[in-house]
Amino acid sequence: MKDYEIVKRTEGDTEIVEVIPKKEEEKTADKKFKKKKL
Amino acid sequence: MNPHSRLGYLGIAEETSAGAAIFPDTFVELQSESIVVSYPVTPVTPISSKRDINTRPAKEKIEISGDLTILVEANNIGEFLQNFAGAPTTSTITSGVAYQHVWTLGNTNEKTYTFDVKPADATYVMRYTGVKISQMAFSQVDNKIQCVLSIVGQKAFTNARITKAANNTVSVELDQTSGLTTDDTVRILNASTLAVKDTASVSAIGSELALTLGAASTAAVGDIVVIQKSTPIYTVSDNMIFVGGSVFSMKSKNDRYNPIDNVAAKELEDFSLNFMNELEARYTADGANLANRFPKSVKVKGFSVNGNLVSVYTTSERIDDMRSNEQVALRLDMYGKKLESNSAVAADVDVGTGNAGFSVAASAAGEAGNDLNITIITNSSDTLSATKTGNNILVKLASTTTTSNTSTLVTAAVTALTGVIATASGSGASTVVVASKANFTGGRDANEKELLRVDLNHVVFDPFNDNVSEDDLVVEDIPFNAYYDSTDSRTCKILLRNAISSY
Repeated sequence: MKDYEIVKRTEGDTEIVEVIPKKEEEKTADKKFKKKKL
Repeated sequence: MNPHSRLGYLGIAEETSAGAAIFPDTFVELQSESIVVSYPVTPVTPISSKRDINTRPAKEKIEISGDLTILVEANNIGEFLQNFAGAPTTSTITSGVAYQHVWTLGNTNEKTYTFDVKPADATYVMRYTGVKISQMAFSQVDNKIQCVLSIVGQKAFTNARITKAANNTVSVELDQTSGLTTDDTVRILNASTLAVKDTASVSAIGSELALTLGAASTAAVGDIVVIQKSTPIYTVSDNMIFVGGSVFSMKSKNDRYNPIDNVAAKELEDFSLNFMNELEARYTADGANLANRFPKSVKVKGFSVNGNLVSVYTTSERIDDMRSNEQVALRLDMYGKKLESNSAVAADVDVGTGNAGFSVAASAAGEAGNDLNITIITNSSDTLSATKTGNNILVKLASTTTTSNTSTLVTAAVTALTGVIATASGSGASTVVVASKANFTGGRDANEKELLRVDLNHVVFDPFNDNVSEDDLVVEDIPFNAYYDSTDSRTCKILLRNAISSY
């Protein structure tokens, strides 16, 4: 789950949720952030 | 005998073998009946040196058909729905209190029943066996929901005649036993005076022409044998009514997915709903008794539904649907008395199994959640997505990267939608697979009432117009035909909620 992000939008009366894989740099940034936090 | 019709009754019983009578022990209030057993003759009209056309009669095949009109309540209508469409799928809401019975008419086969009709204050009944229903026509009359049942019978026992004198004996010979059961009591009537000569239970039915009675009896040739009446006990619920007791809902497809699960309340001032089984009686030459002139069997053929909707004209919605030959979903909810007060329950559904499975529940408890549904297909792109339009949830699995389709990721996508909560089963690490539409189930309101719900997924309006005349309200009287819905694999679903545990 941590490698994906959920993007939600609405078109007319339809809700649309997409599960998008994070790009490599986003994953790296996440890891750095976690390290800093620790 | 008092000839007043209110003293009569209708008794019914489900048969285990078509045409083999079962002693009726369920009694249904009746408004009217018009069953006719034709014992016809056909004239022989030869050229035989005289002008008289009808020289002599020849006995014809016997037909049994007619209508029964009942007022609809939650107990009686289930029996006739089973007669029309076979056994329902039954689920328990609260044991001993509330049950739901579902028929997908057309997808199941009918059952046969034995009907007893007692005319007025007679001491005997007319019996019809192998009864099938060719039409259930619902409407409202004086605000009461009523149903006219058109039936076709396989056999009838109006009465029989003694064919051999019996002198203080249990063995009786007569011209018909078809229609009798060993639970019956018969009366032997004097052929001339119609006075009761003897009354005895039926202990055995030896053949079509021979009977063993429970007590020695005496009869002369030509004496009449009739089935003695029962003492009816009625278990009647509240009558269903139209205004103040029913809710009509409708939804046009308009290229939306599955309108029946998204119906919204609409105005309706009057209606008719006709469910039709085509029935055909078949005859064979298999004997020389009166009973051999009855149909050998009554076969069921096609199933269809049509009806009318009547309401005052307020918008162009329905005439636009008619013009576009639009798929319209109709729902008519007819409520009865309150069954129980309990806690509301949220509807849910399980999709898939094991680590690839998940469950989805409605966020809000209530019966309305049962209209939520979920379908899983493969996306045209390599992205996992979930959409929700009305009550329809559509999950599209990523086309290539299966690791994007784990149960954990799918549940995250579904939970992000409004009004539903998904939970992965097991580890949630396995890949979810495509699944056809599944409706949520088990949702209930806190206060549960008796309910007769008719769902028609795919209705097309026949031609009508909003015609005007001087000083009048424009009323739309819309005839329609129902069509098969391939998404839910049915033309029609009927849900009956009542206190009866099984049919």
